[in-house]
Amino acid sequence: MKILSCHIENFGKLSDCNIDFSDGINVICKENGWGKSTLAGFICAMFYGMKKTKVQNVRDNERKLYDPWQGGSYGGSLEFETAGKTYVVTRVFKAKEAEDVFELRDKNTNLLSNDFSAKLGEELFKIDKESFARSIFIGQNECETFATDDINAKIGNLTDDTGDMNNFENATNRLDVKINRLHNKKKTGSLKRRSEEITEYKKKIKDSESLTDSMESTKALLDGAIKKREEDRKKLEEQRALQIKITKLQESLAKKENIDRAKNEVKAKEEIFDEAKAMFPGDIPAQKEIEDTIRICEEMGDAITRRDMNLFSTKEEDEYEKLDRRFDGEIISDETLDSYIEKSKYLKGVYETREKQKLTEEETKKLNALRNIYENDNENVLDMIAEWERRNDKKNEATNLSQNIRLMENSKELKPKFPTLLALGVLVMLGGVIGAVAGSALDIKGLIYAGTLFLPIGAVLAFIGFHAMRRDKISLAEATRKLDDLKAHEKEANDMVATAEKNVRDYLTSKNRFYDEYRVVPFLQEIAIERREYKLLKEKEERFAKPEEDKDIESIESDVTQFMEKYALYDCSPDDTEALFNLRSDVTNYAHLKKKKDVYDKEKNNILTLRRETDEFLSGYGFETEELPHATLKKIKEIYTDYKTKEQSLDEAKERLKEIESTVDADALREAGEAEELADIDSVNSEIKILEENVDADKEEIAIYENRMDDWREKMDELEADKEHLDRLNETQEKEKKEFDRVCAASQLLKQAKENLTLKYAKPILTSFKDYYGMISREDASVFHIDADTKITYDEKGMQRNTETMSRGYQDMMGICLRLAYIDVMYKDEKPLIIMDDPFVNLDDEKNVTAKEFLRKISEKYQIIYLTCSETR
Amino acid sequence: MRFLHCADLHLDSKLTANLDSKRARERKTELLNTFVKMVDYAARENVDVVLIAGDLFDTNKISVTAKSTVRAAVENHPDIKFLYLKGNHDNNDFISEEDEIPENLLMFDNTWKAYHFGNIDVYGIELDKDNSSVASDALVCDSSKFNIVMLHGQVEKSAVKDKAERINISGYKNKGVDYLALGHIHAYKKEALDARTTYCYPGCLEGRGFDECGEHGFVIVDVDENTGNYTHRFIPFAKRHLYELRVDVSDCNDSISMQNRVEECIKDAGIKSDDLIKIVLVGEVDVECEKDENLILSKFEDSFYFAKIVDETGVRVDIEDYLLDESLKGEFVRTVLSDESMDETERGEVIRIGLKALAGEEI
Repeated sequence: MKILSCHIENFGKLSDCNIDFSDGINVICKENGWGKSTLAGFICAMFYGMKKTKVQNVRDNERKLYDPWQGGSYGGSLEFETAGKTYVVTRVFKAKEAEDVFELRDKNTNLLSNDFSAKLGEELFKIDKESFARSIFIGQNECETFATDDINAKIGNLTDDTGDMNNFENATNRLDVKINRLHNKKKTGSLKRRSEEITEYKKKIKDSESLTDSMESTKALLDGAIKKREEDRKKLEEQRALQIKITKLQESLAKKENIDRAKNEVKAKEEIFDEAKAMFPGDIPAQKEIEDTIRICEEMGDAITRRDMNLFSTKEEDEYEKLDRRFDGEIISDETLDSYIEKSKYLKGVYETREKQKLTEEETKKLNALRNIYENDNENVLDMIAEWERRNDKKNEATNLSQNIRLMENSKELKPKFPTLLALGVLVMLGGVIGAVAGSALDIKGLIYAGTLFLPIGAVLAFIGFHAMRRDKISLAEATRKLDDLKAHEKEANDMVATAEKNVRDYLTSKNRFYDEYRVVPFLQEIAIERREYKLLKEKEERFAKPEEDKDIESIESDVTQFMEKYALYDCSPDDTEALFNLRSDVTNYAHLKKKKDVYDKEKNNILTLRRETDEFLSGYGFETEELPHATLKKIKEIYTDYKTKEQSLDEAKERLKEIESTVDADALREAGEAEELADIDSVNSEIKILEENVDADKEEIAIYENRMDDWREKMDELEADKEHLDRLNETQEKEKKEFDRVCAASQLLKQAKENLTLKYAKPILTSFKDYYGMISREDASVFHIDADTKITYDEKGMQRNTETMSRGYQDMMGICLRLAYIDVMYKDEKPLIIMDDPFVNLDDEKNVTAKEFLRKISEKYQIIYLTCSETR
Repeated sequence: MRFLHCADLHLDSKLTANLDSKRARERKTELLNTFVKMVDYAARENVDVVLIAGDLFDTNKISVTAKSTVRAAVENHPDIKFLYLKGNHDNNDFISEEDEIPENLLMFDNTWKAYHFGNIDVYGIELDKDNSSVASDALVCDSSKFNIVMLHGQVEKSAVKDKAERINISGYKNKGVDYLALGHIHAYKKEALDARTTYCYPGCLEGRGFDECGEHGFVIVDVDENTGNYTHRFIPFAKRHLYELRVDVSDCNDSISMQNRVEECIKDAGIKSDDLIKIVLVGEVDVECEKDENLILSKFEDSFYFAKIVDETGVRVDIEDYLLDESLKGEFVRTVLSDESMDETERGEVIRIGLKALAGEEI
């Protein structure tokens, strides 16, 4: 790979500058300040572009460093050749990296090329910009180098594009970050932090180990307090029992005094009671007996009064005997009497009605006369009159028809007409024929003409005549038919008239009337009136004669008559209502007298019975009998009331005694009697009060211990939670520890792998290095060694030493040689260009000479862009 | 007579091992609600006695809400007897000294106590380090009756001295016990002890962590008082289920294909959106396989009540691929593989990390 030319538009101090490059070494020897380093930076920028950075230091901020001094478009173009093709890359740098312009054209076609992207440097050299600066680009005073990841990757030729060697650093960084995050020694590490947390929890749990003891001791205290409370409660119960006992004994003593008092009272009451009892000569009747006897005595007085009130006068005595004989003790009820009175009234009504409905003698005679005529007559006289009216109409009609028939028979219509016109027509035609024939025969033209003329005239006349004849024939037939019809009608009318006349005549005859054509209607009207009269009389007769009704009336008549006769109402008509009213008056009178007599008899017997009872009571209890012992009984009642009052008073006194005795326990009473010395109730009360306070205090103490137990339980729960948390922490710690070990192992083994890998390529690097070193220094290069990190050391005084201890010139020389060694190993096929910005500035003159030889030698393999300010170098 | 046997409800559990504080609070409430629903179920199904075989609560200090909820559930069902035997997580905090114990709440202590229900006796003892090894010796049952024994602890085949929560199960052989109602193990288990005796752990009511996957609920025991015969059935009752889904991603080369594989496995397992899932990636993946756990998880985080992912995959390194690789990567792999201080798994992991670093990926 080589660059062919470049055009710098504006880049640092360089502006509108064109430079061509050739194969081999290209020495650009310019004075200080010309812009050699800028040119080197330009070439670098053409391949890699420029990163935008926020670094303010101009030396570390290449965009600022190469900002065109004179302004204008910032950038340029570079022509290069690789893999047999020539390209032109153009870059324009803007304020922002994203706005930078990149363009790549194929030189041969001048078309835009996609063979490389904006990451041209990386794609061409397979190394990043830093690696470029560490190998291909050898800046002034920057000869020292080391192998970057990209260099290592390129050295190893492990991959063309994105080899994993390039990622080693990132991978180790990532692993280190993870290690740091997990670390068990560093404060930032979760293992360390968790370890501290675990220690803390362990301590907390250890500190809490005494919790169970504390809880148990509190439980013991609680149990003790409960036990004490039970003991105090027991004592309290005992004292309360003693208190009750003392109270009961005191109550028993008081009750004993009450009993004695009650007994004395009973004794006094007994004496009073005995006095009251002595007022009775015999046994003591019951209160009810006394009251019943007083009531009987009062009843007896009332009975005497009622008996006297119902005593008969002489008149009443006679009256009663008379009625009693008639009714024999029977009191006819009002209902029965009312019923017979109603029946009697009914019969009376029936008799009156019958009288009104009965036929008179004249009416009976007439009815009998008419019955002979009209009994079986069913004719309707009015229909007959109507038929007679129709007969009259038909008779008139027949008369009219007869006249019309005669008129018709005499009219011409019924006579046939002679066909005159037809005959005339025939004659005229005949005359014409004859005239024509004669005229022809005679050759008389006038006759021919006349004959010819008569012929059609005759035809016309014959035709008209023929039609007239036909018309006449039709008229005659019509008239004949009409005449026949009239005759038929006449006959029909006459038949009807004859029938009607016969019927009327027969009817009138049957009703004793003669037939007179002109009196038929009045006769028929008379008959109609007679028939109506017959009908009315017949109905009256029928109404009066009702055999069933008569039967009922007879039954009622018989019933009423029997009833009347039973109570001595002989010769009375059943419709004699008045007699029945009188009977009712007698019955009422009899009932009144009978009732009075009954009461009298009843009261008389009653008085006897009552007297017997009072006598039995008085004599039974030792009292004297009296007719009306009301006053005695009243006195007995008073004595009895007094007796009962005394008795009640005695009973109450006994009851009180019994009650008092029942409320006292016999044993307690005995104890009370025997008790010589009772405990002091006040001291017992005081003891109870103290014990109650003790129990309350016990309760409070129990509550305190229960609260404390609650606290311990809460703490135990916390301890359990802490233990669970610690388990979880240990589990996580264990898991993370394993992960930490694995990540550490991965990190360590990855580094080891990298070393193993690079070690394989250290030898070719060292060989190249020694060649180049010998080329410049002309010294023995066997003292140099290379380590797995491709770092160079050298033997001196029995030890491998770092090149940092060497002089600046040697360090530069070694750096240049190492870079070349890297490039040799990195680029086996197509060799890249090498840019050298005055690298030998620190070499002495002797080495500057050999360096030139070195340059010549390497320019055989590489295109060298050698920038210097001194022609001697 | 019908018994409901439950245990290890662990009400008031913190549940913060997997869940964030909001979800943990929500799940805590769910645990309490499931208990209340279980009691409602008991009432509905005419259960006579509820046997709570320990660890009703989880914490030393029980919250007021949990206390009052449990108390209300007991008091609201006076027809049901609640036999509560405390477990190693329970303490006396539930009923304080001054509280009145509901009439239908029957409790036990560290000596044998029996409750009688006609022809059925229920015995119980709260085990501690002093009584656990000798408890079975002190038990005397009327073998003519149906006998239930409540205990809370881990079944051991032989006696373990001075250790609470250990049940010397052999000691209960031929004691006339019909049903050992146990608690402490969080998964359902039923096993015959001898010809007459069966012991049963109903498991916890709700799974709380991924060590409690599978069905959870309680047991219904129907005892015929006359014949002494009984039936036993497990009732799954948990609101949510926990699943640990192990997904072999050996043949996956990137996160997306792993996501798809996980999705297939979830579908096959029939996991519902209400459930909690722990995805465990297993198998051996290629050392250069791209695998981002967070990316894989992101697809499922919102599809379930809770989802987490754990990578248990090994790394597969084919040495043939790197033998002739003249690159830093090849050299690195060879260097690691030749390091005998690590085992194969470690070497694989180290290679994976190193290659990720070289590829510029986040480690």
